[in-house]
Amino acid sequence: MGRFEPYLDAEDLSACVEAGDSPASLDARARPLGCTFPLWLDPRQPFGDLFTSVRATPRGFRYGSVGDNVLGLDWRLPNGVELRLGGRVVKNVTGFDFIRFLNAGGRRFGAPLRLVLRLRPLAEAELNLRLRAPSGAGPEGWDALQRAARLVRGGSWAHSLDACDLHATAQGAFLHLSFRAQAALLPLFQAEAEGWARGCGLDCDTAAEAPDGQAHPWARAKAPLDDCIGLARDWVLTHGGGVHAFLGQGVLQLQDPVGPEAMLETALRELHARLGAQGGHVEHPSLVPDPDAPQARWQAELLRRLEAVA
Amino acid sequence: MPLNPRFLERCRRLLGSGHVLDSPAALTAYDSDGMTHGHHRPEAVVLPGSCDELRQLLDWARGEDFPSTLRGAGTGLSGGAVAAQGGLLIHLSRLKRIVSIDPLNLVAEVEPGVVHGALNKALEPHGLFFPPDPSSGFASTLGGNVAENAGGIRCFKYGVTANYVLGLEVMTPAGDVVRLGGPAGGLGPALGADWKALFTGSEGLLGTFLRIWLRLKPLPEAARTFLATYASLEDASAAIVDLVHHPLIPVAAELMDPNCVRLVEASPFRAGMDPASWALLAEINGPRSLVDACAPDLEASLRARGATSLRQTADPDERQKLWKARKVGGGLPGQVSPDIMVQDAVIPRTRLAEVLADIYRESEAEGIPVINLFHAGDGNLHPNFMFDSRIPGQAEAVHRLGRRLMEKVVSVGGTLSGEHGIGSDKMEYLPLLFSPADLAAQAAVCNTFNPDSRLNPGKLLPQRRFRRPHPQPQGEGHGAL
Repeated sequence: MGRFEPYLDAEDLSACVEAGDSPASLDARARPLGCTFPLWLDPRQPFGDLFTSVRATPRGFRYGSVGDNVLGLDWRLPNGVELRLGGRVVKNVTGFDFIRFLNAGGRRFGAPLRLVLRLRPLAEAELNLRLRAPSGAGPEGWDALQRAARLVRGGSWAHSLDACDLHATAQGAFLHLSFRAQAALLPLFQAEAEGWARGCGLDCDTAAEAPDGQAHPWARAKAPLDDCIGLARDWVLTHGGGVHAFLGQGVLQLQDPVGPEAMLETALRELHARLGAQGGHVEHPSLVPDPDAPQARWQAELLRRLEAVA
Repeated sequence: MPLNPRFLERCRRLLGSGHVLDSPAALTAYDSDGMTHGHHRPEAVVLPGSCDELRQLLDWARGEDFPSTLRGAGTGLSGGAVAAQGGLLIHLSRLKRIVSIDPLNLVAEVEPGVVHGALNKALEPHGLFFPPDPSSGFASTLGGNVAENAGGIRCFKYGVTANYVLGLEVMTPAGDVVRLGGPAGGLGPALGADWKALFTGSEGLLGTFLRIWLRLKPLPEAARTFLATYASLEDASAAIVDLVHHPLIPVAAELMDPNCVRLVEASPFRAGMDPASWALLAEINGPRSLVDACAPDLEASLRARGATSLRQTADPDERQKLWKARKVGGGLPGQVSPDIMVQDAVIPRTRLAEVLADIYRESEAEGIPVINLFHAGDGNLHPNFMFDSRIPGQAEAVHRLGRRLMEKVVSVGGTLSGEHGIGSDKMEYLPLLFSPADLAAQAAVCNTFNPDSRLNPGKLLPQRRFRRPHPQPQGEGHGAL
């Protein structure tokens, strides 16, 4: 079987792009054909770099991780051998799932040459809403955001929303909700969201577009879903900077904290230990994989065996 | 090598004699899984009652030179949960504890033998559900679902099992017991690569699941089911492509061919479909206001492709009746044919009409009736080839049909399996899809964890062959394909 050739199939909703291609470039080709790559990724970065460095994004609330939206890969191993992984169809259990394994794993196992992406139909319209605590709300404002997040995540609209994110800084925090559908359906969502806001004591306003996705945060944390808002509050109030949390995926992107680097790294290590006990983690250059863990042995052994692939 | 009698004696002391089976009568039940052709009898079956017992068994087995195979409910359709090279079969059905349900974090922690349907029943009072829904969900275990990366009808909207695995506690063939992720769904304290992604869908080759953490979803407030019938495959295929482009993303888009519709309509589960038609079953769900607002648009979309009849319902009993008709459609071919071969392949959705036409043409040429009912929204085909292996040449004809189907599927850009796995059934087709280097990379993963092939040999990839101590059974009416 040969390697993938670049294509865009608007009818079947998939496209093969070169690793150097960018989301902006794909979108320019796909939108006129009525489809789009649904995840928010830094539009100017190459897909190859995004695949090896980013797992969770805004809009993952509905569409999952980057790995969930990559159907196939042409992959070059460190020894130069090229592999075909996955395919171009939306369900595939033929062989081990290299794609989710390699997503956001850096380039220790090699690098992508081409990616086959799952596209989605372009929605007619989009509504972005912000739910925020009234100024001066204090700690009660965070509690109100937590209540609202639980309503969104645990309710029926969770099946249809594109994004449910938290944006927090020392100056304030808001939930960003995004819904894409036919224009006639947007008022239904607006009425529901305004109801959530009223019930939780929050203000609701419309945003022109989705906020920046912060594709290159200072650190990332993976936490249980319901801990995200509390962790964001604690981090912002203790260390300043900002937090962009994807509340459907339990991912916090920590941005521009203030304070001595050593102190911040100590705080990260403590957070990593706390989250690690629940199967979560923190990603930051100061935190390296445990060399004594079985996983380190597996990695060395798998790399050795892949090096022998001719 | 035959099983060591002293090993079995230790097993009896650990588990109780009722949970160690080695009589021919008891072993017969384990000859096959849901793929009933081709029999592989284990030399013994053990049923651990706790994860501690399972770990102890695996520790002991590591000191012996016989293969071990893991089995959940044995409902798989690729010959994955059978002792293809004899040895010990470890039946995990007693490990059926739902350890916890966490509604705020939308997580369930379960043992591998929990039945899929039992989890969803336990989740209902919490207003939650586990979205993947293999047709065997009433019996199949979550350990088996994760091992095969099971799919099902709702995959169109919700994706496959891999989308919902937050963590696994695994025991590798080398004896490592490692927690990969957990309720938070991350990498855990060790960091490094996301190994749980490799273990999910690994068909029991990389290790044994001791504990599983799964992501849950809130139950939708409302759902509406649509049944549309079409006079031709082309019209039905066009309607499916329209559904794929619907921005609300339907939960499901299932197609039954006229052969299947006729069977269903002749059964007690008839749903009032025109027996000569192609039947398309679709569903939308979500908040009631959204579902109600979208229903006219979806109905118009289905009608626009020439539906000969269309009905929609939000009534739970009526919806259940329609879905029952779809589900029994998968079982009825097995009731009217001595043997059946259910294939599984995925193609680009725009090629449905072309590939199905090919299947009917090839089946007719071989004289083997075929029934198609499948997950059309995902392009996931399930042709049911009906045959009688007692008639000389029929088993061989079905094998030829399987190979030609896979050749066709690969030629249009498809893949060999969407949800059943490769198992022992499809290993021979892998070179259609993969180069020698691609296959070597797959083998590198297997050999990293399972270098002497003692865990589940004879599945997915060519591996070491164990010498079998006894001749294998030949079940009456079932020939090896």
